[in-house]
Amino acid sequence: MKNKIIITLLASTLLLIVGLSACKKLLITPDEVGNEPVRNFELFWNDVDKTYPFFEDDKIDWQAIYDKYRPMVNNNTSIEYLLNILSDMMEPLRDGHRSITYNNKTYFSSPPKYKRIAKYNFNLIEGQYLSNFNVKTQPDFFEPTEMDTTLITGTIFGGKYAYVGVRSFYTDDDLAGLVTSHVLANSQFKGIVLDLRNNGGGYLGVMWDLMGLFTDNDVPYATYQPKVGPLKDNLMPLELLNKPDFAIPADGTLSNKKVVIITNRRCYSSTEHATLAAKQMGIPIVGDTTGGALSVVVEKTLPNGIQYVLVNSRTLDINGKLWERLGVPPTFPITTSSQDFKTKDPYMEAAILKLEQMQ
Amino acid sequence: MKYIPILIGLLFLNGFRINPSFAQEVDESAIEDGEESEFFIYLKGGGGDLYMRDKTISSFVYNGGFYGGDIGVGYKQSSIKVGGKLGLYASSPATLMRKDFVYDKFTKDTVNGVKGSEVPMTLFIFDAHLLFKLNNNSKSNWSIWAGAKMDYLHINKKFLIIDHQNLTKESYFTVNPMLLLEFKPHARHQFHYGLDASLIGYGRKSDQYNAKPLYYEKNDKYIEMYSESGLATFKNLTTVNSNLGYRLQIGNHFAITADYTFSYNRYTRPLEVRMVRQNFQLGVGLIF
Repeated sequence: MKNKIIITLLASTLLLIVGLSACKKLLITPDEVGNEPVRNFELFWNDVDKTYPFFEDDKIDWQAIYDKYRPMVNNNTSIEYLLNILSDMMEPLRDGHRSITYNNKTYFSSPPKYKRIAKYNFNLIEGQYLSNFNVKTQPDFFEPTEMDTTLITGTIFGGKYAYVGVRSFYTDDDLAGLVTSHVLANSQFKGIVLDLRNNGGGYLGVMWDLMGLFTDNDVPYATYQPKVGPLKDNLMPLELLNKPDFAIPADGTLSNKKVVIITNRRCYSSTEHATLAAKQMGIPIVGDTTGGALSVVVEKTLPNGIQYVLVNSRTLDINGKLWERLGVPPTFPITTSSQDFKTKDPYMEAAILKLEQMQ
Repeated sequence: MKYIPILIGLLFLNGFRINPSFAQEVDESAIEDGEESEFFIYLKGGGGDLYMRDKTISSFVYNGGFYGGDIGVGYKQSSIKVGGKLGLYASSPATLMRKDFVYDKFTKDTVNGVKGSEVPMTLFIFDAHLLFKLNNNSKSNWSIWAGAKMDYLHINKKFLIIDHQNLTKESYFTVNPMLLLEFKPHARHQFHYGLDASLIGYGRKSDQYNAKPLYYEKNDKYIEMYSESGLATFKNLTTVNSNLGYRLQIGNHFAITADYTFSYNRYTRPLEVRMVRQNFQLGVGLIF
C-alpha cells in the first residue's frame, strides 16, 4: 500500500513538472532561432523599433509594417527576397540617411522623392564665372569603381574672389589644407564663394577642419539628442542634453577673408551641419534650403551580412530647433525662374553680390 | 536541471526509509492534525529557469538560470493556517536571436557589464496567505485548505538600447484566491500542492535611463523615461503560482523540505511582458 502511494506521488510529481515545463512554451511562444531568414527579419524589425527616433514625426505604425511583412518571410526566403522586403519596410520612413547594402551593393537608399530638384550646373559656373579652376577627384565612397569630384578650386572672373566648390566630405584628403593653399596662393583674393551645392555629406571631422579656417574661436552649433529608452518617444530629455555636442574647432587661417556659402536641396548631413555652423559664425548663406537629414547614423550588420544604416538620434540646432525633414534655410533665399541655370546661375551671382557688399 | 525531479524523487523515497530511530523520537501524537498548533520557520534555496518575453525590451524570448532563496514562517491551528515568505532571486536570461548582430565600431555592445543580448535582473518576492480548512475530519490523511494569498513581486531589469543602459522596475501586487491540498501519510511525511491565481491587483512599470556612461560629468544618476501604473484585473495583470512540496520532519523540532514552484506573470502596460519561472528548492525548517 505504502509503495503504491509512493509511486503514485512520484508519478504525479514528475507529470506535474513535465506538464508545467511544457506549459511555458504555450504561455510564451518560442523564437524561431534556427530559421535564419526569420531571425534576420526579426532582428531588423526589433532594432528599428527600439532605436529609430522619428516614428512620431513620420506617423509610422511600425507594428503594422511588421504585421504586413512578417508573413512573407519563412525558412525558404532567399536573401534577395529578404533584401526587397527590408527595403520595402524602410521606404515609408522619411529619414534621409536610410540605406541597405549587401556585398558592397546598395539595394536601397533614400527614395527619389526625397531628392529634390538641384539648382546646380557646373558647366555653367565654369563657363560663365571662372577664369581658371582645378578639380580634385577620388574613387566614389559608395561605388569605388567610379570617380567622384570632391573639390573644385578656381578664380572668379575679375580675380577678386576665390571659388571653392566642395562636393563631398567623404574624403581622406586634407580639404582644409588644399583650400588654404588655393586661397593663400593669390593675395588678390578678398573673399571666397564656398559652394556646397550637391554635397551629400561625409565625415564631420573634414567639415569641421574646413569651417575652422574661417573662425578664430570655437563655434558651438548643434546638440545631439539620442534615443535612450525603449518606447517611441524615449529620447534624452532636453534639459539633460550636453549642450552643445557639436562645435567647429578654431583654426582661423582664413578668418580675415569674407566668405559666402551657397546651398541647395541636395545638401545633406555634414553639409547641413556646416550651414548650422555658418549661421553661428555669421557667414551669409545664399541659395535654397538644404535636404533635411542632419542626424547621426549608426551602421548595423545582420547575421546574414545585410548592412543597413539608420539614424538613432536627432540633431538640434543651438536653440533646440529640429531641422530634420525641413532642411536648413539659407539666410538669403534666392527665387529662381525656369530660365535660370541655363545662361546664368542666380545663386553664384547673389553670392558674388553679397561679397561685394561685405567689402 | 533535468535531474532535479529525480533528486526530489529520491528524497521522497529516502524519506520513507529514513532511520526508524528518528521516527521513534517523534512525538507523533503531538503533530497529529487538529491536536496542537504549529509554528514553522524555514529557509529554502535553489534555482531553476526563467523564460521571458518583454516587448518593451524586444519581441525576443530571453531564457536563463534563476537562483536565490526564501525565508518564511507559517502558523497552523486546527482549522486556520497563516504564513508568508520573503525571497530574493537573480537571473541573467539571454536571447539567441541576437547572436552575430553587430553595430558599427563606434557603438559598444557591452555597457557596464550589460550585454545587448542579455537582461540581467533581480527579483524580490513577498507573499502572505490566510487559509481555512475545508474538511474537518481529523482522522483523514488529506486536508483541503482554501483562502487568499497576497503576492508582491518586484523586478529590476537592466538592458541596452543601442549602447544606452536602461533599468526597468516592475512591481506587481495581486490578491490571489488560493487552494492548498495536504497529504500526510505518516506523522513525519507531508506533501502539499498549492495553486493560486490573481483576481485583482496593482501593477507598476517604470524605466530609467542611466545617463552616466556617456554624460559622466553632468549626470551620474538614473533618469525616468516612462512610468505606467494602476489597478488591474486578471486580464491585464496575471499571476499564477503552482507549488508542489514535501516536508520530512526529523525529531520534534526539525524538518527538511523540497519544493517545485511554477510561476507565471503577465502584465500588459505599456507593452506586454510574460515570464515563466520554474524553481526547485531544498530547505530546512524549525517547528515549535
